[in-house]
Amino acid sequence: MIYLLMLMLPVVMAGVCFALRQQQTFALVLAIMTTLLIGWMAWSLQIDRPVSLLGVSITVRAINRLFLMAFALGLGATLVAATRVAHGENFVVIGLLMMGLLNASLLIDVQAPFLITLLLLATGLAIVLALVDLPLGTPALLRGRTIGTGLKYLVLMLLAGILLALCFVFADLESTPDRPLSRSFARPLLALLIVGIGLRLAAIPFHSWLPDLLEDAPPLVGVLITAVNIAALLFLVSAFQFLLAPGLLSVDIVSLRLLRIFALVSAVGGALLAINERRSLRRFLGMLLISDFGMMLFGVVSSTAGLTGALFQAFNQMLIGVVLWIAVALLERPEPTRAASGDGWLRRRPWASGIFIGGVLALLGVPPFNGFASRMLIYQGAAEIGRPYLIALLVATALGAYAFALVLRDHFLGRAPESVPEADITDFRGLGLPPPPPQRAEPFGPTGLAVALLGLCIVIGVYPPLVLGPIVDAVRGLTFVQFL
Amino acid sequence: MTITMWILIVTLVLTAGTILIMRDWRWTLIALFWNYVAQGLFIAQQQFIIPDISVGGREFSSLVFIKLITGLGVAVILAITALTFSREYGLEDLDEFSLAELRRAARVAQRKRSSEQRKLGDYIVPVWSAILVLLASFFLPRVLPLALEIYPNDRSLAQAIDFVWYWQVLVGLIILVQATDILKVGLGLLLSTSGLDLLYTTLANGVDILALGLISLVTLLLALVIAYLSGLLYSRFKTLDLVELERR
Repeated sequence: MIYLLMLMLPVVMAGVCFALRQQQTFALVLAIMTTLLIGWMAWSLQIDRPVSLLGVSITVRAINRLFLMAFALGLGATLVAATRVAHGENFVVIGLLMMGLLNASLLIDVQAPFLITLLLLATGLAIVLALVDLPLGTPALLRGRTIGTGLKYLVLMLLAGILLALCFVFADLESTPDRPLSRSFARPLLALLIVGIGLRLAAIPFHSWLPDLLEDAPPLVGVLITAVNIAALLFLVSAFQFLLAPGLLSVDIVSLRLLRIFALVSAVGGALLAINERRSLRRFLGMLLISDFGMMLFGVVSSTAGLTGALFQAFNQMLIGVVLWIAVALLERPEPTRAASGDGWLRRRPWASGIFIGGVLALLGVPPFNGFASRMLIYQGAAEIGRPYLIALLVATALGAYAFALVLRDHFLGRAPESVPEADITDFRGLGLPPPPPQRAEPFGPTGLAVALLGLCIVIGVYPPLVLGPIVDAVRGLTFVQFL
Repeated sequence: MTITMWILIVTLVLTAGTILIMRDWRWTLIALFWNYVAQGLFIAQQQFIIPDISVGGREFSSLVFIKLITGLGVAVILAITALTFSREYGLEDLDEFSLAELRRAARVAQRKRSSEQRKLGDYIVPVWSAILVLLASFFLPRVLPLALEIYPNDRSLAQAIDFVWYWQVLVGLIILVQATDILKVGLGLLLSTSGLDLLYTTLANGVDILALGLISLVTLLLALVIAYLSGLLYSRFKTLDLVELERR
């Protein structure tokens, strides 16, 4: 019953919230309560006890439970922030739908990878809707570029879905014991899996959609995009277990080396591109996320320590993603006065700036944040398989840090704001319009929430066993690492 | 291979080819519906499909009905979208800048429509690409045969299955490459998805009814998303041309 509730409750509540979308506050309260309830249900799930639901096997592992709770926490926090931050008319509805789909993809047993592929494809459709969703009663038109970005994302996600589905049909052919095959599908199977997941994770060279999407989407949608990408990474880990452990797929040394280089290209290339894209905070974040996913991908195909680090980093990224996108939303709130040139965010929005800076430091793995422990594990995994890999990862981190230093200089540091003449503010469109209503520059609710989440990042960073326990247990059960 | 199978394969080729070559949505949507019908009947011909529904004394598999309902749903969603392109919505919330932008977009689209002339030369690339895809779908089953692993004793059936799913997926992808309007992109996506559906249904080790239901649901959602994006694009630029997305 609890499984059915975890799948259906968000979907049903999405329907209710859609009906109530004109009463945004009420819909938000309902949605927040739903996420809390889902989080509590995830907490009380019994692990490693297979059940059958609608003919599908469901087995909750410790790691899945951890991420179910992380998704509930992330969405709940985002919805709380949405009470004071501009968001699309249907953001709540789409967020809840997405939660139902992500819950299903984490609950369904890995023995049904085709189903999970379809669920991930459906999350892609939901992201497109979130992208083109304008706030209620907005006086502005949707930009053509936004529609184009949505269309590009839709096409790429469908392509990823086709590749992954083809991969699992190949796996299905390989797995039939009473049917000797005339040829082995192992190589195309691995290629399809990696390209399919690479598309979903925006790994280089399939990366162009992520910065575009993050730039055009409302800021809080960034949290949903991060959650979907993390679900795709978890699916890759499950797929490896499904394919490698029973011997459906064997990875030779050349393929393995290629895989690791593929991941490293994303890690280093993402950080390099972050330097190039520093003029836009959102694109900069997009590139850093690509680099981070590259590192996680590397961790998955390195060693036990690397895999542990990758899963830990995925959990951390969920938390950090919420912090960062709330910070971006707070920074982008309209200001009552026009910013003078050279006037940095740190002076205009000190709290939001602090949250953003803390979030990026956590993502880069700077102590005492949680990213430090997870990145150290990934570095350890790299060191175990070869020094050049470790050097490449350290270069990626250094490049990311350099890009961030440039962003700090260009966006956050600057002189004190000059006073703007009142006439200039009141008539800046030349229409004699009244001045914008005076706003509290940094609303307490979302700011306090983001600070609390950043505090949680520090707590986990100082005491990693808080999260590492279930991850280490999960990695012990993932036997595919020994086949790498 | 029975004569029915041949007829269904020809129908699939003709309908998908029509979607690739024709530009008028009235033709392409009708072709899409018949493509789904032919696909459903093609699946019903497979030996592993057990009839479980009796209609008018003839027995059918519920799978066929799932495909038919999906096809009908998709065609109706897109047809309604195409019919209601001229609908304006949310204008009351827009400010004067946005309204002026809409009027300008309408003028540009009107000018473009009046100067647009359909030439025979517009069909050269689609027709040749259809021929190339046909050849690729014919030879790929010989290079990478998948269905032969399932039906080793019936070579012609295996090649027919491989041909059909390669054809559907490749035509879908080539439409995506050549599409100049958003509705055509949607049709390409839907054809690729139907090819994937065919591949899973005919080659997977035991057909999971939940997976089939989910494929149909995703197909319908895809049609809805395409319809929504088409509506947004039209209400913004008064045209479905993708060129407008690059310009503005």
